Amino acid sequence: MNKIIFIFILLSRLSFAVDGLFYIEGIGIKAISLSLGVSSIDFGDVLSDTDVDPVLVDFSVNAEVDYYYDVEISNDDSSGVLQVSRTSSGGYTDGKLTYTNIATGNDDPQKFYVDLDTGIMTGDLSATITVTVAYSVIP
Amino acid sequence: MKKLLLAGLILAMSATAMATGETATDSLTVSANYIVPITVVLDTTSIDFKDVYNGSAAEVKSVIATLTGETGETYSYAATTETTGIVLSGATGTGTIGTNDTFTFGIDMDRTEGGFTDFTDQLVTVTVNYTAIDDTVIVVPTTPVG
Repeated sequence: MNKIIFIFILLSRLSFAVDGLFYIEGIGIKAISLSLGVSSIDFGDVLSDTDVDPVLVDFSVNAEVDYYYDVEISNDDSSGVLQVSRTSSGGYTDGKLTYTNIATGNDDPQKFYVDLDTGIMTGDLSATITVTVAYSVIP
Repeated sequence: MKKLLLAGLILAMSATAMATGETATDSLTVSANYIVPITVVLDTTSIDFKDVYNGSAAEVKSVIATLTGETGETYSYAATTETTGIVLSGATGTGTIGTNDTFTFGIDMDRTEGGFTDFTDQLVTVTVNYTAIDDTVIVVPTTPVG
């Protein structure tokens, strides 16, 4: 008798269950990708206070069309010798370069320049430049 | 309950996929070999030949140049003057820092008839240059073929 009562209660509970509904939406956005055109730069032998020619580093970013993305160009050189700029003629900094761009959906060609501040150079240089791109806003 | 679990799983997978596609990173290395600037010091600051007679025997004054710079780097040197009547000997040559840290060149007067006219304070310039300074090398990524 006890078993019968238990099954009855369980069935009655299930009969009062209410289904929940919700909707899932999503927009397919291509993963942002980055490709550098230069893998290493060796300035060779460098004397202090001498001019070296800036080196162009080209790269491309591919992201969803009309989506904004942020670009950050940083380096791990703490001496300040390593300099980067988006133009060859000036604007060099030993810090980060950051800017925002809007994607075309294709490989967007971009570039920056690498130079050395030889005036403060007192030793060999070994550094890594890292370029990071990220979508600015994902709805 | 199963539907709820399934929906949760889909949401979690979606969020993970978005996170990995939101950013991209690439890097390159930069290097340079610092070279100690080359310096030259002469043991002579001035030479006065006094009176020089035409046809007299040569009287070469030796000048010793002492160099400092990056050990192992090769150099070339040249002693020059724009003054007619000053005769230089051993005025050009090459060497390696650490092995040939000094060189010697000679200075005399042109003792032939009319070889020079009187002068004072004429300059002899010594120039030393590194000869094997490595230039910039840029490496681009290789694209797999196949």
